[in-house]
Amino acid sequence: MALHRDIFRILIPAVIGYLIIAALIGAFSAGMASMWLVIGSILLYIAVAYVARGSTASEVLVAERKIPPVVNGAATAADWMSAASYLSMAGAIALLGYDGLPYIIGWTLGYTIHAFFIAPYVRKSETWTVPDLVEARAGGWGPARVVAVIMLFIMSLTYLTAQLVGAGVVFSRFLGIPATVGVFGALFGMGLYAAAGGWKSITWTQFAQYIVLIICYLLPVTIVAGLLGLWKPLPWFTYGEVLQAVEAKEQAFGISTFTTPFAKPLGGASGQLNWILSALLLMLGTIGLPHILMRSYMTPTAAQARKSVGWALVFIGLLYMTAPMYATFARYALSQLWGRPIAEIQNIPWVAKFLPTGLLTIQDKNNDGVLTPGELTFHGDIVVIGMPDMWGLLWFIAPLVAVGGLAAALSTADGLLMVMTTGLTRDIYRRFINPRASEQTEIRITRVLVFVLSIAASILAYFAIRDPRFAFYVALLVAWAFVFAAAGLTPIIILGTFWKRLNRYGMVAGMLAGMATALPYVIGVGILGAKPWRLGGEPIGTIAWGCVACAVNLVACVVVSLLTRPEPESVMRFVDRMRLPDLAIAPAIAGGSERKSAASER
Amino acid sequence: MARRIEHPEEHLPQKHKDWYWQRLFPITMIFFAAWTVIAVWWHIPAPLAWRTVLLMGNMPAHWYLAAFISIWVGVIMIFVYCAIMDRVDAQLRQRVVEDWASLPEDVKAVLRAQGVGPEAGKPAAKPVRAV
Repeated sequence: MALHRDIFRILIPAVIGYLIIAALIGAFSAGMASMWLVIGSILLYIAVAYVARGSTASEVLVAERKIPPVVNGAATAADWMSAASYLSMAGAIALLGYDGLPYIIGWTLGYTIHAFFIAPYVRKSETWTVPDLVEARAGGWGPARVVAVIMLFIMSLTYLTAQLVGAGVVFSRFLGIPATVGVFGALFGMGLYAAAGGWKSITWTQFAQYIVLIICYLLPVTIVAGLLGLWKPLPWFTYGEVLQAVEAKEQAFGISTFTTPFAKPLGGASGQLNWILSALLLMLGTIGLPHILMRSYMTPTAAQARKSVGWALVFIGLLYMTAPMYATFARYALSQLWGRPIAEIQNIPWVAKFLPTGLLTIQDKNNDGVLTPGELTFHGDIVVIGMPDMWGLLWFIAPLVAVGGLAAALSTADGLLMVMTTGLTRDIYRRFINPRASEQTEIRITRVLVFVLSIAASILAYFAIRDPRFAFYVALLVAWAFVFAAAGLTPIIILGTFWKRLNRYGMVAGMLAGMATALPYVIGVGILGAKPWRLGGEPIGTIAWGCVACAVNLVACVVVSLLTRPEPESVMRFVDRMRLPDLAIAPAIAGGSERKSAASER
Repeated sequence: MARRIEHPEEHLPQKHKDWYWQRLFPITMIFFAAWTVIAVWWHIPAPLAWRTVLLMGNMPAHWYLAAFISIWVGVIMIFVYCAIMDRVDAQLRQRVVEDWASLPEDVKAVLRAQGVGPEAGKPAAKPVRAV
């Protein structure tokens, strides 16, 4: 408990000081105060990271396996909710309407099966990393670990690059700093607190970042709900009235309504089958992402790992149930512009602010001087970024939204950075290069690699921002990280516990077959523009295709395992251990020493 | 040579392992089946058949199922599953204690060290003062 007390003892006065300084600066210059709010938040995270810094391998790699379920749940939520969730998801729903909702159920309901099939067993395996688990389940066969590390890198590096792009976008949108410079600002903060103490400092920082991001996300939209009179009793139950108003306006202008199903393409295709398979793929991908799997290692017991997933979904649900409300309010604000003279609209302060940024464009196609729905286009990011301006909220709300966006981008980037770092130190260096490396050597290498990998990702993000074509591919690759996770890891992690006959050859064959199914389709349809294949008469987009790749992985696992010899008795005992609960209600885990020795021996 | 017991659960009699698995597996599968309802099945009729159905606050049913209800039913399912599995875990512990005599001595020793066994929960014996 001492650590919790230390963190709160430092954090509370620090937050009060941070807000007082912002208020004092704000009395003279709103721009400088905005700058302070964003940069000061990074300093707060660094303070938390240093209070919670770790110095042993157990602290750096698995946060000593002492994180309480609620804290681990909040950290998982922050780890999970990236700049894409915070900035872009509400925008995607505003653009796609009902066809954007697979993002909502896809990125939440994966956690339910994570609790049923994965979290307690990963924790009970008492391994240290996901590749470590894969190798242990493959009877200590090194190639299985190497393939798992490659999968982990394919998923994590693209995702990390996109997070840094998101951080750069936050800096540029809110502070007017060039996004390319913002990327390196984010690198500075992220590298410092990731290097401070690995997963232990990252977990507590993510806990703080979750609190920041959820407050900053809810603040503007709940104020707008108040302005619209929706607090009767809570706006999440009553925003249907605004939805109806938007649809009435759309019908009046003769366009497809907001909640019309299957009207817009998702992942390159539309239709009900594509909608359902896309949602399913996002769920299956969610549970195979290494930075989410890693979080199951950090609770004291397997039962607490299961509960922590429940808490994670509570915390994630708060943001995800709010995103459709954001989308609705933004569409409502935009629909209020239709039918009005363009000259008048261009003088509305928030329209005038966003027209030069390209987030909003007006084109008088029929030269009648009056705006029609087809003449107004918007970028998805305006939904969250522009909400305070659209509704005339006080000046400090907009920078707070930026602070939340930065927290979301950095918290996810930390997790990804740490997963890749431990993939190199524990899974490659310690396992294959120098098995006798001391704990201190391993920690030193971890700290150096944190900086090396964050610089590498920052350089990729720099080019992504400079070259719009590259940025386009990075954005696509983020969505495909889920395809690769579902195609690569999800089936073997579930079968690893639930099917004893799964063996090393089946696991490797499954991972390779899944990836070989996913990759060509994603490149062909997503990048080269090939026509999507049809399933049951309906086109299948690149995201939905991940379900097919996941099924191929599953079939390859089963067929190859049945055709080759089963794993020895020691692996069966390992599976038994994963399946059974902790017999001690509060097992002795002080410092993780007991588990450390077990894992080291293996 | 005495074997080294790192994980006593691995060395429980097979009947205990089977008992636990025969409970865990069907419970998990029932919850998984229920999960498919909120993740897949009810989104099949919803967009077409329930599009005109308005829930509280004039919310179209097909929209609200995906945007709100599915998430929170998923949350409730996790916590109910946790509560049920916690009970099953406790029953396994109880069975292990009741069947204490059948456990190998080295497994008993490790379990005792973890605070598991018939003596667990009883007040510790008073330390004998050295004479």
